[in-house]
Amino acid sequence: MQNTPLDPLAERKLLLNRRHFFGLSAGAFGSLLGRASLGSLLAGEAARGATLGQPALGPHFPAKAKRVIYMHMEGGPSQLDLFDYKPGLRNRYDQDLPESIRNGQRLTGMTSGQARFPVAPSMFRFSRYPNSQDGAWVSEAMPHTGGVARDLCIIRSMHTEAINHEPAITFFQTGVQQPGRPSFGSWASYGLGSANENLPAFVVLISQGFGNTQALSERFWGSGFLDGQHQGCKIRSGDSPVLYLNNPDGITRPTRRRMLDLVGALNEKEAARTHDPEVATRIAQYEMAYRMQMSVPELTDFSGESEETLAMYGPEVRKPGTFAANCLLARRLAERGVRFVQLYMRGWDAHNNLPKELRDQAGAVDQPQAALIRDLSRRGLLDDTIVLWSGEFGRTVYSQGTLTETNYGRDHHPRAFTSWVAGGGFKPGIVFGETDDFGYNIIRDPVSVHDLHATMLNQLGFDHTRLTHRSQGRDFRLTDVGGRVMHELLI
Amino acid sequence: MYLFLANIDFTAVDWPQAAARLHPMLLHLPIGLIVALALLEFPRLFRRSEPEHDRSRTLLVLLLAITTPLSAATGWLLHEGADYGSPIEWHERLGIGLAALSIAVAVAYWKRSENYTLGVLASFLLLLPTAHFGATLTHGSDFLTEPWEAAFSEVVVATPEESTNESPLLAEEEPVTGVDNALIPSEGNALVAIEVEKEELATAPVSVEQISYEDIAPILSEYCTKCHGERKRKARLALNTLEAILAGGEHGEVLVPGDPSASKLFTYLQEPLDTDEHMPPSEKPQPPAFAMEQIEQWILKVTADQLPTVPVSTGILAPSEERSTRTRGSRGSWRGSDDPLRTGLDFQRSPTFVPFALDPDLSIADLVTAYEGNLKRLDGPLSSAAGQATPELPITTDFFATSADPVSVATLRQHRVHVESIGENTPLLWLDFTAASLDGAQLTELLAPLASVIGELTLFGQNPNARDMTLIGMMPNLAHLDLRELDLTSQPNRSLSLRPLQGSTSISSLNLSSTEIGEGGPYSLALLPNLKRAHVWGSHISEPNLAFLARERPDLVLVGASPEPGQPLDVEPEVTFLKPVGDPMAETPENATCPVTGDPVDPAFTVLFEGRTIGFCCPNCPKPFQEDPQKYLAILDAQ
Repeated sequence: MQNTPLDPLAERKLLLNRRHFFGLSAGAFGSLLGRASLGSLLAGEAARGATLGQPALGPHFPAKAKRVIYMHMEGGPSQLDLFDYKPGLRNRYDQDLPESIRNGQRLTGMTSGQARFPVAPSMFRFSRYPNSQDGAWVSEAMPHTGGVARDLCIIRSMHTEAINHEPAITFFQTGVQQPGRPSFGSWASYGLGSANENLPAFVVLISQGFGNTQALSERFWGSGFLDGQHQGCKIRSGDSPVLYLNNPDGITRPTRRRMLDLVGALNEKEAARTHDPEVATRIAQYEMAYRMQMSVPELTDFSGESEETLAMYGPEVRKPGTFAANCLLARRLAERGVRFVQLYMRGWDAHNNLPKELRDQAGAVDQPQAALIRDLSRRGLLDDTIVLWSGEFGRTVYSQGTLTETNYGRDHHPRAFTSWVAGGGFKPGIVFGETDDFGYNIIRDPVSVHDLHATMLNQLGFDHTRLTHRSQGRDFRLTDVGGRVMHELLI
Repeated sequence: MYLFLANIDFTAVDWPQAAARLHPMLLHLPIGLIVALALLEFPRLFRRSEPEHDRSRTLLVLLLAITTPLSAATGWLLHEGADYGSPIEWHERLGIGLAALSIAVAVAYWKRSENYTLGVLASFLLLLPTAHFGATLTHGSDFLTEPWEAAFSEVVVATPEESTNESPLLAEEEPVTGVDNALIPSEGNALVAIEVEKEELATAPVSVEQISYEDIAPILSEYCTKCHGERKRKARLALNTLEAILAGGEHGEVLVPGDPSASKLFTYLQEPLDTDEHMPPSEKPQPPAFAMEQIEQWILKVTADQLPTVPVSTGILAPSEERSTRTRGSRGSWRGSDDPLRTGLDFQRSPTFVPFALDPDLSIADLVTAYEGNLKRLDGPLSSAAGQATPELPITTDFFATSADPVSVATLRQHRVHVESIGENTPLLWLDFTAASLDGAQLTELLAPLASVIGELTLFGQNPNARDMTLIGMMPNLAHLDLRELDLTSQPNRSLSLRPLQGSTSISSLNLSSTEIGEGGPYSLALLPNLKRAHVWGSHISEPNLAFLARERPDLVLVGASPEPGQPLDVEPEVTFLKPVGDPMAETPENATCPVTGDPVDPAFTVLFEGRTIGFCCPNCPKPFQEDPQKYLAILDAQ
């Protein structure tokens, strides 16, 4: 008859054994009272700095960046129609992709059965925008983004391991294709903690797109084996930005406080009995939720923003949940000290009607993302905020389905795609890396997902090989066994 | 069977203990016999009649005379083998008395004496207290009263002074310990108690330095005192009071003040779980790591003179002591993770860090006086517009501590200020006031103790006054100062004076976005010799002043209003696809006959392959070509 914690039989015995229960509670009461009274310190909005749970580690060395805004373009935007300018392809319309380019690479089941792989040059007109070098070519789908090319570090030589959405997004978010590892944002929260005790360290904002949409699993922002407090907190549009955060009718704030004190006391008891860190996490989350009841309404209220600012983000900014509104929200989160803001824009998976879908998608993100860069820049926040824009992979140069003069589609392409980074000590106004004439393979300066992660962690003040967490007997890290800090990309 | 018995080494058996362990079984026999005899003889109290001597009675009395002494003997042996605490003394005396009485009853019965009946009834009366003390040993002193507690708990709360002593619940038994008794109340009065504690806590935060016996008593009472307490004292060791801990057990002392590694109170917790030394025994709940840490800290801290010198007492505290134990004991948040010092920064991590290095003689008042002197000086007329030497400060930076002290950090965190170490090899900190609620606390008072170790300071949305700004200007290591969107409602002219910052040689970047600066602002900026970058969007610097700054400080990067979006340098001409069909610009195929069929090539059907443009006769031919290009290339080359 063991009383070992977490042994389900023993736990049942404990419940049944009333005498044991009382014996335990008598002893545990001292700590229980201590805990509860500390909790009630918070009652009159009086401050408390410390939260329960695991303390943040703090950076290894002085950081260039304090936070990250990661705009994930879910579905994989076409680099060939946005940033990877290949005018030579215009002369190869409907020609077959040379075998020497594809070189036997496995394709997805969606196009592997195609009789031929006709080259589909971009229908979009490109313009050269001023940057620190001899200019950056950006397509007519993103004129506003072209306008901030002076701040962008455009990487045309990104490559990834996975060819399908789920594993590719998982890889980009966690460093491994298989589910179960902590998300980048969770690592940031684990390493740095929140700079604002009233808000979570890792916030997720999701915007719906116009094109083909793929599933977006909650585990993309899960904390894996890290404490639950590090998982991303989703802020939704509408009356209830954070689900179940508002007090129900008839529950006043003091009542809620009293409830939390009691629940906290009970949880403390449970933590003492089982020593389960998840219980400490739960206590910390309750306390944070209580503070978020005040901080979130203030956060999502744009009435304090000037007309000029709102206009900069475009007309959609007044519609909660749009990419424009989420970009403005991201700026407000960043200036309030949230470490990692993860934006998702869905709908980039243009297998069939790329010209129309891309135009709609780019139309929704272009002005807001450029406005975010400019807004952060003028507030002095771009210096220490890394803004990352990326899909999970790129798209093929050959057309999926029928190629016509007005329509084409593109399949998934992991071998080369374009991402861009702004701020946080990344070199502004450069275009990095190069692909071949077909935009199919990288011919200069490849950047892997792990390299990008390592570089971003470096800017956050971490040696990516030392930011680890031990689980199941080994140390895990975001960059798994890869990653190189790309000093070429840094100031 | 014989084989089995043959394998037992009977000489190795501890016979006295083997017999002693039969006590809990044997004792029920006399109980039954005494009750049976008492019931049989009870009517004779009212109806005087001759005592009967039938065979049943004879058997019962005989058994009684045998089993009662046997029970007493085994009980005595059991007590010899282990320490059961105080209730056993009376149980033992009464039990031996009962054995003697039982023999007397048997003798009386044998002699057919009138006293036989009296003896039986006396045995019955003696049986009650004996059994009660015995049951207390196995079930605990509160076994009977426990279900009644809730009904009486109001009484406990209403008179906390007397609760532990005069509560009808607890008067029956000796109090176990002050802590235990005080902490028994049910959920209902726990809430009342929380309210009481709140006031007290606000003024007395617990820190490592103040760790005391009251902080570890709850740990001991949860994990140790069930076996090493007032009731059970295994190995003759009790841990329920400080005196008892000091007295040690049968294997000597358990506490060596200041030396956890010599104190069994700590070392036994650290032994491997599967060894006999490990405490608590492996099948019992184990204390968490931070509880052990607290015990270690306490042993480290206690010095011999802090401990009471009174000899080992019975462990019962006087009522007043009991009350104080309860108050402090319940406050002791030994679960550790609440402690602001334990979350976040690890002050031991950097070798350059020396906690508590702040000069204890230095009061906040001293600092404030010094700042105000400095402020007066700086408020004098600006001697020249720009480019002048740093104004001399009345106090030097030596004035400040050279490291962060945890208490100041904890105070900041209580005000929800984010305090973060800048890196592992630097003592410098980043302080972020974004989420802070100062509740009337003064910035200067909060910042002063850490002034020399602040490397970055974010005051987003705060309301610093001239005094605060003066202190900020004197911070020797402050490189990045963030004054975004300050609350200027209480500032003169609703703008921020940068004059107090003048002379800072450390500030290299300054963010003033959306914070209006006063008229002298640009001059003050010019007087920050190391300033490299300033964000001045929305800070209302006039065009002439911008020009002035550009002229005086060409090295200073001013990030002004949002730069206009870049306009395209080139726009590619209208997108046109060069299609293979009938397009004069299409590359002409190198071959005249189709490699697949040998028919003439139609230029509409070409494939680009490794830099070569290969023509085919019809749209069907490129496919076989791509399936085996080498074969068809060989045909082409042969042509």
